[in-house]
Amino acid sequence: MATFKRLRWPLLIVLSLMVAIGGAVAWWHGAGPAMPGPAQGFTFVDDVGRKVVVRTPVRRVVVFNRYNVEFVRAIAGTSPLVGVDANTAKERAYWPELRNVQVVGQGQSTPNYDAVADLAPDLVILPRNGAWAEADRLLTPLGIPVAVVTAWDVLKHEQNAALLGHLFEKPKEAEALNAFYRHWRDLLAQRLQGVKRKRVYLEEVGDYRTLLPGSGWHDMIETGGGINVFRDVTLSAGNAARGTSQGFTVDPEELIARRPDAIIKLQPGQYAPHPRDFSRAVLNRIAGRPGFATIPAVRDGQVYHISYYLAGGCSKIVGALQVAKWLYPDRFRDIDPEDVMAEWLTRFQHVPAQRGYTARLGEVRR
Amino acid sequence: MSLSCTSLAFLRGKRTVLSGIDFALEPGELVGLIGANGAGKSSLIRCLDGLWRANAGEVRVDGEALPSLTRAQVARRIAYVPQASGETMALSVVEMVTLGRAPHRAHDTAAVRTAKVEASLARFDLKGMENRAFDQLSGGERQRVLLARAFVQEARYLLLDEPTSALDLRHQLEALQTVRGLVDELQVGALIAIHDLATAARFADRLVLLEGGRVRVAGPWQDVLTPEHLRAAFGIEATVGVIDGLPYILPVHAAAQGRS
Amino acid sequence: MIAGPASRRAAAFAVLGLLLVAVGIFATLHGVQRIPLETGIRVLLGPLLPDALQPDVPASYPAILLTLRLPRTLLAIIAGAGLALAGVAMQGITRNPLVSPYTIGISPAASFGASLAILASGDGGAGSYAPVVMAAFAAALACAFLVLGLSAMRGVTGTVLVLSGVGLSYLFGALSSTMQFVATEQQLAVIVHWAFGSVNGATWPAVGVTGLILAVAFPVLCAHSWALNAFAAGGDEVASALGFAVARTRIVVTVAAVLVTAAIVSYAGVIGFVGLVAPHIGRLVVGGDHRILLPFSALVGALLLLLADMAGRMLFAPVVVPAGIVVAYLGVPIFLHLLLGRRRQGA
Repeated sequence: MATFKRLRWPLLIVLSLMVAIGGAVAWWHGAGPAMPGPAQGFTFVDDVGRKVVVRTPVRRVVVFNRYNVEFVRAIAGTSPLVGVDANTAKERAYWPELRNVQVVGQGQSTPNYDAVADLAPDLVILPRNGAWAEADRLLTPLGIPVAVVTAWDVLKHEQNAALLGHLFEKPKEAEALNAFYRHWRDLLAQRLQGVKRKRVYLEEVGDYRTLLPGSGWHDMIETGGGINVFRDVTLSAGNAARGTSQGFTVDPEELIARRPDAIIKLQPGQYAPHPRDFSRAVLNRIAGRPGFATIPAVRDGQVYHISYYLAGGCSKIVGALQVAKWLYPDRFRDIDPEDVMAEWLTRFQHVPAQRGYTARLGEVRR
Repeated sequence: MSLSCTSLAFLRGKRTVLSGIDFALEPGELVGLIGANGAGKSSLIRCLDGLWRANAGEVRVDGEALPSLTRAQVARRIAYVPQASGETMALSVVEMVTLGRAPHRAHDTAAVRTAKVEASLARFDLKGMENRAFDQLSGGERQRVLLARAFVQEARYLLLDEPTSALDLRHQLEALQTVRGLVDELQVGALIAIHDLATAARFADRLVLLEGGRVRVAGPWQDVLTPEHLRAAFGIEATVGVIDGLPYILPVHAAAQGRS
Repeated sequence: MIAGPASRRAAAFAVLGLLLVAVGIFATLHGVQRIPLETGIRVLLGPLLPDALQPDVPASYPAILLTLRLPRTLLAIIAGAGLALAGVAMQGITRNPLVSPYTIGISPAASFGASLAILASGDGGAGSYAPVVMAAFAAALACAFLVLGLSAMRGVTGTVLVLSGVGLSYLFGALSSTMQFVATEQQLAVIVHWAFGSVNGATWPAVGVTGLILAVAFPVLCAHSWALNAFAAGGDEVASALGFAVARTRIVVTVAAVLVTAAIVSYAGVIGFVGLVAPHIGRLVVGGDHRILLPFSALVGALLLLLADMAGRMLFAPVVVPAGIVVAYLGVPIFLHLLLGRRRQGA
């Protein structure tokens, strides 16, 4: 056909280009010297079901996500750490030992693979909401194993600790951490037996944003003996699945109608506690919201301001303890959650203890 | 050998824009297409070039039915010169003129194309302006560029849609003189839709007067530009005459009744 | 003066081309580890060289070069060039200088497709790469199909394309947001990460697929240079009068532009700005003749994205800032400089 004749040359060029590109890609794809990972070593299944092989003890590890780094520090100290993410490292006060550790990316979503490869670590740890799939694609050909460990998943606390104990060959330290955790968890369960459970409204940083079943913070309330007033709300099978910490905005009218006994305001925080003035302002603002005066929690001054730091301490067990103490002070008269937090900080995180992570409306009310 | 239409009809939605048009454009003649606003001049030109598809009737160019030709084939036979308006997104004069070779690009060599474009630029006095942005030219200059583009298309028929509407007196004159020159020299057939009746009368071989989508009258200007036709088609009372051999039309006042 | 004589344009091409090669080599060799040029070349030609000439470096060098650096550089070049080409094409056929490759809505559509795939996959989406890419691509094509279909019903004009594109953009955007609303945190992280415009996770398959599609789309678009010029000169009527089949041209050009953009978005996320501004930078330097504008804009786009990626890697090392964020910081000053410079000279 005339058309074909006319297109003969362009067609040829296009085809050659395609062959050239395809060829070049195939060549280079296969040409990289395959750097095999360790053939033998400790084999385990990680948090997303991948089989990982690592030579133990792990002496050089790159860890993403603050909760993961906390666990590593608790079990193996900071000496195996050769790379962390910027989000973790920027909290200098909390991580004084990390001053000389390489930063390998802003957070768990944008790792700097160049930097990671340069460090030649034995293992890279990412949480399951990080870019682990991408890291797997890029680092495994370089012989660097990637393991998914999700330390912020409180239901896997003991499993994670045990695994890390294995990886760093510190079984005693791992067991110590688990014992600490189990002690308080069991204590909570024991002392809360038979209690008439109180209703709690949990609010995160946004106004009227609460947390629903599926969120670790919701679990914290329930473990602490409270009933999340919005526990009956499920939006979809998806968000009921584990791992959600998304807040959902609720209708203030509904909130008032549900008459919670206590309101807990969860505030993102750092190692340093919130200034009292800030807490006071937050609590008074909550108490002053339209219609809130009728809520039992506000009437009785049972509105609490709590820092993420305390709440999240040691897989949120400290937070649960605090909740329990607020709701049932009689049953927990001898327990001071700040002491537990202090132990978590000094014994396991090797940093000086701070106090004052919480505030109560009754104390600061105008 | 002509560009012709028979029983041409064109509808826009419910409105009949053109109906029952019989017309033929021969090479070597300049025809003036006149009529009031909305009479259908632009529509007829577009139908003749195949830009709009007629609802009834047939358009033939050199004996071949228009729908049977590809757009490129049509473009090699008919050149369309639109009103010079609108942005052109950074095209230069030479790029605009070169576009006129588009219908021939399959067969042009680069040398041939360049030669023809250069010739056209010279003819329309555009040398020295090649790299100026078309958007920055004056109305008269733009008109020359569009004519240069049409010229380079080497089509036998030229359709010009109100080429002088936006031009001052001098450029109006020059534009028509240029077209007249092309018709005489190259024996192209040119159809110009135009408002200025006197200019049309002066340069065209014959006039076609459209009224309400129909051909009211066609022929030499003396037959077309009569007070009676002017009253009916334009709604004016006018005086028509000749001075120094050039026709003139003087509108005196609007006609007593509105035109139908 | 918008376009100097041919020699000026040739010079611009040469300069840009050389710059691209130089920057490409620099970007590939530089990172946390600086690899010398000679080593780099030897590694690239690796399998061809006899043992005696093999580079004497730790085994990680070739691995880093071939697995991390080279795919990344190539993907940045391909993505930048592809988006610029698509931008020129879309601006050309809609005669609208505000149009970008995403105007007909394929970026929110691709986001939606990716979100769907991530939510539907069993392991919370983080592990499935190919299905996400394919879903994003399919959704982008579906959106383009819808837009073209809508246009075909009302006449394939530039305005209709833009308007239906805007409408579908909002629709798909809302659908995407809904997906994010019901996603778990893990899925959300994957969705958001995907949407970031970045070549941080570039792999050879990504380079291969996008490269092949570009290799096909580029000649197709260049073949329509005349048609695009005709559109620029006077719109549909002038184009038709000059012998172009208007509707068919518009469809072919749109499809080519969409394919390129969809492929790039599916692998590299939504990288904005390049597709909108590279064509304008091109026009300011070499003028509006698409025979030259198309390849030149491709060069501009490639260079822009490559520089952005390099800057994102090196300026804040060891933190990596995604190229999609950096590219606007880089491009806007260049664009403004050219724009203002032209103003002073021109009318």
